[in-house]
Amino acid sequence: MEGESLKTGEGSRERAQFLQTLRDQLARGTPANLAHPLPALEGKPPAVVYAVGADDLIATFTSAATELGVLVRPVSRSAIGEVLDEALELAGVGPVAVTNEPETAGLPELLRSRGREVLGADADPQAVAAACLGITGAVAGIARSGTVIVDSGRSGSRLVSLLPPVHLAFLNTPAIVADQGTFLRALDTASLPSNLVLITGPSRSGDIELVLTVGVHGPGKLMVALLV
Amino acid sequence: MKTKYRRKVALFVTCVVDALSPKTGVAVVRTLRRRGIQVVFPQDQGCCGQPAWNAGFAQEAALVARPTLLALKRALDQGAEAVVCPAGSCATMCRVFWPEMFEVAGLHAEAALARRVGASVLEYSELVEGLPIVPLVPDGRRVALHKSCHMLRELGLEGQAAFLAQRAGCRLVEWPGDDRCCGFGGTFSVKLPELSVAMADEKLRELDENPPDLILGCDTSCLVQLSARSQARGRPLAAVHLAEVLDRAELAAEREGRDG
Amino acid sequence: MADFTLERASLRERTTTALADVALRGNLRRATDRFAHMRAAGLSQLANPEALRATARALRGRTLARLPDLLDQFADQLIARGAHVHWASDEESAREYVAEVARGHGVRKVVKSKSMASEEIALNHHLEGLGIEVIETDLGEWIIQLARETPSHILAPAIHKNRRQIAEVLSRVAGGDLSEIPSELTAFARQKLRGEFLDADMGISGVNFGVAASGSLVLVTNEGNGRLVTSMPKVHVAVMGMERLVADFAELDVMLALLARSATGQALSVYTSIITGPRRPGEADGPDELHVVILDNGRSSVLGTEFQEILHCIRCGACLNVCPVYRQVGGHAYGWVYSGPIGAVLTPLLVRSQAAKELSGASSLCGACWKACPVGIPLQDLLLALRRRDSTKKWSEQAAWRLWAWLWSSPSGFRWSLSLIRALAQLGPKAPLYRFPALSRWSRGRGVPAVPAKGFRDWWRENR
Repeated sequence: MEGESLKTGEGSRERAQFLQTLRDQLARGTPANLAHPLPALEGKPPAVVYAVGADDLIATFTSAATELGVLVRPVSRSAIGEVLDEALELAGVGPVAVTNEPETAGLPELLRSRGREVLGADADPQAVAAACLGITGAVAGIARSGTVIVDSGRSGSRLVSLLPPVHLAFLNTPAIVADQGTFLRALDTASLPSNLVLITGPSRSGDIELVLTVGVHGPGKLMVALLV
Repeated sequence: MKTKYRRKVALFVTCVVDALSPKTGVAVVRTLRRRGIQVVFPQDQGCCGQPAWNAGFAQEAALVARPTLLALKRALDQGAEAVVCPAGSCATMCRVFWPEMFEVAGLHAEAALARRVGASVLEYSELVEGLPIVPLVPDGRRVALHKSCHMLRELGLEGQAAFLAQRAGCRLVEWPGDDRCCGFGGTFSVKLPELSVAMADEKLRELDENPPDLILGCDTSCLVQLSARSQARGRPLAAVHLAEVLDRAELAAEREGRDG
Repeated sequence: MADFTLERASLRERTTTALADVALRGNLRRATDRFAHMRAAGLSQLANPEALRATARALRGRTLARLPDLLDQFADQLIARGAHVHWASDEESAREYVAEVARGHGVRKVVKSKSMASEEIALNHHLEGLGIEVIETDLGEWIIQLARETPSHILAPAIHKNRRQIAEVLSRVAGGDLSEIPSELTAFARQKLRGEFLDADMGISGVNFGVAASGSLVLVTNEGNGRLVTSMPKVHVAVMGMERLVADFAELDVMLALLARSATGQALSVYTSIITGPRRPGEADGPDELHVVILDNGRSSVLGTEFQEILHCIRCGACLNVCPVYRQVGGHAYGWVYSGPIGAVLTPLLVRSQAAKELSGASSLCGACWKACPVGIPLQDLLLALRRRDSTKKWSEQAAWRLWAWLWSSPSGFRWSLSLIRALAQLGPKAPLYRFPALSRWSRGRGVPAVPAKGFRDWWRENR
C-alpha cells in the first residue's frame, strides 16, 4: 500500500474508485431544503467586513497584540539593541537561536557582543529547545488580530519561533496589512513555503476548567519589534 | 353592542389551547375585538400536525394538518386578511414547515396551498404589536417572560411580547435563561422525561431567589411545562399567556369605564 | 468502539447517569456559559455576522457540490509538492495505511495533535496493538488519554473534569503529588511532553481545512503541540475527513473569520499553520515525508441525500455550547466521538446501529444550534429528517400515530375525540386516562394539567 506520490504516478485506481463513489452519490441530486433553503453564491466570496475601521495599521496592530499579552515595541533599525536587551532580560540566561532573515541582520553580532551563545536556524532541535530565546523575522503582520506571520522558507526554521520559551519577532511596519483576508487572498498558490504560520499571541490553553494558561507547548512570551 | 369592525382575521386556536387552555383563545378574541378586528373561527380547523411531524411521522402529520389547511384557506378566500395563532410553535409549523411537510407526504397541491396560507399565519404578539392601543388598567405584577424557541428563532419574534407586556403595566424581571428551551419539545418531554424536567428546573431555579408573580409567554405548551414542573418541585408559579394578561388589564378598564 | 458507551447503554440511561453527576453539571454550566459569552464577543468584531454566516453556508454548499473535482485538484497539488496521498474509503483502509507507513519507518513512538477523525477510526488503539506508543499532546486529550476516558467536548475534551481530578491523573505520571494550580499543571505537561516531541518518530495530526488550489493543510490550534507534531518528527501523517476542503484562500478567509470566533471568541487561534508539502531543501526542520489520508468512512453515503449539509460542519463546537441538552448531560451521553447537536446528526449517519438511531431524539428541536452554527447548518431540519428516516421501524409508535391521524384527520373526528378526552379527564387524576405510558412519564416529574370541561368552541357558540 503505497499511496499516491510522485513515485507511483498520478491518477491511481484507488483515487478513481473513491471519487467515482462521490460522483455517483451527487448525481442522485441533493434534495432541496424547503424549510430553510440553501443560498447560492456566484463568483468570489465578498471580502469580510469588520465592525471597526483599521485606518492606522500600526496603532491597530499594537492594540490588538497588546490585548493578547504580546509585548509590542516600535523600534528604529539603529536602536534594535534596546529591544534585544529587553528580550534578553525577559528570557534570562542561556543561548539564543536566531534565523537568518533580512529583519534579523546584524543580530548575531549584537548577541555575541552581549556574551550570548548564538545558534543558527540549522542548529539541532535539542539545542534550539535549550535556548532561552528564539528570534525571527516576519514576512507580514495582520493589524486587526495582532498577528505576525513566519515563513519557513524565508526563516529556514519552524522551531526557532516555537521551542524556546520566549519568541522575539522583528516585523517591518510596511508589511502590516489590515486583516487576514488581505493577506490570505493575496497568497500566490504556486509559491507557498512549506510552512507558513500565523502567530496570534503566546501559546495558550483553557483545557483545565477553562482557566487560561500560557506557554503550554509554544512560547509563553511573545515580543514583536516593529521596525519603523 | 354592535361594533364597527375595520378588519377581519381568522383564528387558528390550536389543539393545545383548545384542550388545555381555552381561556387563552377567549382572551385572544376579546383583545382583538377591542382593537376593531372581527374574528372568524373556521369550524373545521383541528391540529397543525406538529406533534407527529416532530416525532418523524410526516404522513400522519400531513393528514391531520390537511383539514386545518383547507379551513384556513376558506377563511382567507372569504375575506380574512390573516390568520392569528396564539401558539408560537404552531404558527411556526404553518409558516416554516407546512410546505415541506406536505411535499414529503406527497401532497403536492396542498404544499402549494400551504405556501400561501402558511405565509398568512401570524403569531398573536406579532399581530397585536401593530394594532391600536386600547384603554387598560396597568397590571403592576412582576412577570418573568419566557421566550419560546420556535417563535424566537424560526419566526424572529423577540421584542413584541415584552413590549406589549410592559405597555400593559407588567414589570419584567431579569431571567438569565429566558431564551433557553423549557424542555418541552413535544414527545421529547415523555421520551426523555428526566432530561426534560432538568431543563425546566434550571430555568425555574433562576427564579427561586426572587420569584415573580407569574411566568408569561406566548406558547401554551411551554407554559404548561413550566407551571406543571414548578408545582411538582414545591414552588408553584402560574404561567399565563400574554393574551390573558392583556385581556385582564383591558377588562378592568372597561369595568372602570362603566362604574366610573 | 470499545471505550464508547453508544452500544452499552440506552440514550435514556446515559442521560440519567449524567444528570445524577452534580459536579459534571456544574462544570458544564460554567464552561458552556463561558464559551457562549466569548463567542458573542468574538462575533461582535464582525460588521455583519449574519451576512457572513449566510455567505459561509453558500460556500460550503458550493464546495460540497464540487467535492470530487476539488479533491482531484487537492491530491494533484499535494503530489506535485512531494506529499503522499492515500484514499481511505473506510476506517480499516485508513488504519492499515498509517500502520504501513509506521512499519516502513520503524516507528516506535508517535506524537499526536488533536484529530477527531483519528478517534473516529480508532487509530490509536490499532497502532498500540502493533506495539507503537501513541502519545496525545493536546493538553486536554493527553489528560483523558491518561485517564483512559473519551472526549466530552469537541474543543475542550477534559471539560468534564475539575482541577483536582486532573491533578490526580497527572500526579500518577509525575510519580508524586502535583498542585491543583492550572499554571503548574500546565508547566508539568509542557516539560513532560517536550521530551516526547524530541523523541518521536512520527507525528499524526488532523486537518482543519485542506486548500484544493494549493494542496495546503491548514491547522488551527492554540497550544503549539500541533506545530511541534507537524515539525519535529521525520514523518507527518495527516488524517483528513474528505469534506474538510475549501476551494481556495478566499474561501479559507471566510471560514477562518468565523471559526475561532465561533469556538472561543478569538479573532484567530494562536497558531494558524498553512502546510504545503514536506520540508524543502535548505530548511533546518520539518518532516521529510508528508502523508495525507483522505477519509470517507461513510461520508459519501451522505452526499446526494437530504443529510448532505451535515458535511458542511467545520467542527467549531459552537452548537455544543448553546445546546440546552448538552448543557445538562455533557458529551459522554451521546455515546461516541462526536457529541452535542453535530454528534446527534453525524453519529446515526456514520454508525449503522440500532443504538445510534436513538440519538436524533436527544433534542427538543429548539434551534439554538442552528443559530450558533457559523455555516448556518439547519441541524433541526437534519434531526427531523433522521426521525423520519428511522420512524417506520418503530411499529408500536407508528400504530399510535396512525390512530391519532385517523381520529384527527377529519374535523368531526377531531372534535369528537377532544370531547371524549374532556369527559374522561373529569373523572379526576386517578382516571384510567392518566395511566397511558406517555402520561405516566409526564406526571413523574410534573403535575398532569387539568383539562377544562368545556373547550373553546363552547364559548364561541355563545359569543360569536
